Amino acid sequence: MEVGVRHESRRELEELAAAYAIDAMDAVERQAYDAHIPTCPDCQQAVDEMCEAALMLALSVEQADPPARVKSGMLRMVQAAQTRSARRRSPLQGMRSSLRSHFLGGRTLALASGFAIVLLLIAAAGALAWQQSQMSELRDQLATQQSMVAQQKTRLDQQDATLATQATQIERQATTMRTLTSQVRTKQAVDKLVSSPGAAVATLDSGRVTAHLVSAPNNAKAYLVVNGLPRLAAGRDYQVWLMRDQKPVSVGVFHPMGNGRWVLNAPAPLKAFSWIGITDEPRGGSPAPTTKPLLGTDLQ
Amino acid sequence: MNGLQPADEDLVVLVTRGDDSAITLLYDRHARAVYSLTLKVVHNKEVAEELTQEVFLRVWQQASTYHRDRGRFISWVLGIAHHIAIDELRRRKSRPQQVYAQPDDSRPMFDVADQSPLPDEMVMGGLRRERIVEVLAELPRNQREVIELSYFGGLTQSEIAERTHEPLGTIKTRTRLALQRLRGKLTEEGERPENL
Repeated sequence: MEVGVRHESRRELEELAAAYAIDAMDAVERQAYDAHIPTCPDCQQAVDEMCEAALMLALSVEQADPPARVKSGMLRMVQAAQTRSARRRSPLQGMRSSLRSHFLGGRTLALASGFAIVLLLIAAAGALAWQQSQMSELRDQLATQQSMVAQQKTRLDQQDATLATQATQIERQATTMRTLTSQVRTKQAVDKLVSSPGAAVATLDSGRVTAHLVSAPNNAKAYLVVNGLPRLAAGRDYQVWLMRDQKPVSVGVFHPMGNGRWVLNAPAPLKAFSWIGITDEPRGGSPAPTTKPLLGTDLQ
Repeated sequence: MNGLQPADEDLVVLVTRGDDSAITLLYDRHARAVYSLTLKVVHNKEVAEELTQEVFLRVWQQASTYHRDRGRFISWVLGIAHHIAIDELRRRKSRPQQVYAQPDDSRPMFDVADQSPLPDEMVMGGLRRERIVEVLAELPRNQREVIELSYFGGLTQSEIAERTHEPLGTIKTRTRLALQRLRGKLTEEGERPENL
């Protein structure tokens, strides 16, 4: 029996086997017991029996299928191991083959000098094979490292893709939230405007383009709804103007597609202005109207 | 096992000859059990995936060390899986940071909620996981605790003794009795693995 593994009774023997079967030994105990088992038929039998019970433990767990990538990864690892194994065998096989052909070819040298040459050749071939074996080991280690790095990279790429998808979803939700918030604010502004004293709706109609302006004399906000606006040329925007003391005041630059609904924020209550209109201006707007108004009406 | 399907033990012989279709068949039959066991131990899907690959690579590399007269293949491969998973768990636990999620203590280790069949019904002869779980649940609580802490928790018997404030001899006895009772109960019911 080896040092470190003793069983004075059947009970002790079975306790060792039980601990071994469920991996409840520490590394040192296990190593000693691993060495002991082949030398002790009683322990071998006890381990086999305890392993049957351990199998039941293994099969008691909730079952789940591994992803398909596990199988393909395993097969790649097996193929890599096959390749490494073949590579390791080839130098030794080559050396054995050349020695075999030499001796079987009837060229055995009786002379000591010839024999010495053969010995030197064997020594040189052995050294070469050893070097090749070392190289092969290093190549194997490198291949294993590369495989692990590739697996890690694949996993990181997958995580990146998942994060990017989640970021896109969050951005979409944020955009939706911003749109909803804007709509709520617009509705609140319009509600407040409509309930202001003297609130009225003015209709602007140029034939093709029509608009409704909701305003109140003492309120600086106004709600403008425009239908039928022509499609703007590239590099152009619509600009809304209020006229005060014969001077145009810009209250917004817009780029609508056909229809537009805007809450206008005038610098003073609407009663201070005499006219409202819309012009077609260069992108970003102009300090003063540069084209004939598409639409306009007096406010007083 | 029907006559059309090669036995696991015959496939292992083919694996020793470098037949990679044999390792593929063995994987198809037992990857589920291997993955499930490693996942149960390490509580991390990615790590369980890597360990599953490692288990079958070892089957490929160490097939010649398997002896059919010492037990069924499934017992051997799950033994490898458990050993690798426990090694990984202990290695990670020895690091300063906790890498894996802690097991949910509120949930019993032996959970009967999943009534799915065992990994290979054909191989296992219809033995249901449900029945195994029932037998485990019938173990005395202190024996079950020792099995849970060691087999699924990765603790050595010395560590369990320290944690439970029980003598090491008591822990060893409980482990032995638990496994003997488990094997005896299943043998009584004709459900020994070699008979399945």
